[in-house]
Amino acid sequence: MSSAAGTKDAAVRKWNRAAKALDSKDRGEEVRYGPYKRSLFAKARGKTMLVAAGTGIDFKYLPPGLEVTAIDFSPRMLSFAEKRLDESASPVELVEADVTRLDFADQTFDTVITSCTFCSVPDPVQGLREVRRVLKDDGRLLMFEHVRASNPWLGFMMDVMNPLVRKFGPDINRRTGDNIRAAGFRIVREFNVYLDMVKLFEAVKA
Amino acid sequence: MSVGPAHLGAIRAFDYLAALSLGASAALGAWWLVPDGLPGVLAMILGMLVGTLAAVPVFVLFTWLLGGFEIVMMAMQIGMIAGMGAPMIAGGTVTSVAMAGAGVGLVIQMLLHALDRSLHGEVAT
Repeated sequence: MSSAAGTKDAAVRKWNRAAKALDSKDRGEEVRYGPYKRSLFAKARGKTMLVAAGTGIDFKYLPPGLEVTAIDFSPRMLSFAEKRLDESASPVELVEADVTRLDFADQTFDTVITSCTFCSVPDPVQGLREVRRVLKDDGRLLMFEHVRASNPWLGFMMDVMNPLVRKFGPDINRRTGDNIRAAGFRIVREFNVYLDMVKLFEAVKA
Repeated sequence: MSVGPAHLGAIRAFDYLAALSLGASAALGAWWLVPDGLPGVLAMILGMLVGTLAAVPVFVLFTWLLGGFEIVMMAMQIGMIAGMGAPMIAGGTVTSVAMAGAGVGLVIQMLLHALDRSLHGEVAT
């Protein structure tokens, strides 16, 4: 098995294990961040890919009028998401897929949505390059993500805590803004939700 | 972009309650568990570790109730700093140590709140 495949398999196992407890853990975050997600996702148009759908907790924020493909590499997450399909105002198709190796044709989607996704993707820049490939030239990437704080002390603390935190969940010190640019996107809007570590991004192809 | 003031106000009050509780638990944990008579620096380092661990149950509770990165960030700072200071309190009582820890929690949350106010909103791209 290649190193990349091993890393992906380990990540799938980790998120399969986390699936059952995830909603309980995220309950409070939904109260805090739900209004921000709703306003961001309202900008989605047309054929839309929701990356790392998880247990489907974000389906309720999807506006009507979309044709949604929700992907996740964890089959257990998708089994939970299936129970939430009726929470979405738009039809949702669930697909087991790895964002770093998508089977969709080039320029398939008008919008790609992520929600606390690129803190967990083992190779975030490769994942974002795949997102760029399947996004139409006039498409838009909408992201709700947490990133490493720019404050030197808080950033240092996040670096120190990350090896422990990532054993059970996501990385907390990703530089996702830099990763978005490295994958060939131009950030057209950035909004700080909490400090500068919980953010909304809107990006287009550079 | 905005969310309702009642929504924000309730969450902010909850954050301060979490900060007070995290500070008190970290300080009491370190005060009880770090042995007397250790050299100052060693007591502070041990207090930092013990305080962080002592704050974990409170952190888990508040995260479950109304979690978010707001709780994560304050817990990381408060557990460490309240725990570091608690072993230095000579002749304290449970009440005075808990109040000192809660005070540390309050100050750290006020600083984080102020920093958040300065950063919240649109970023020039």
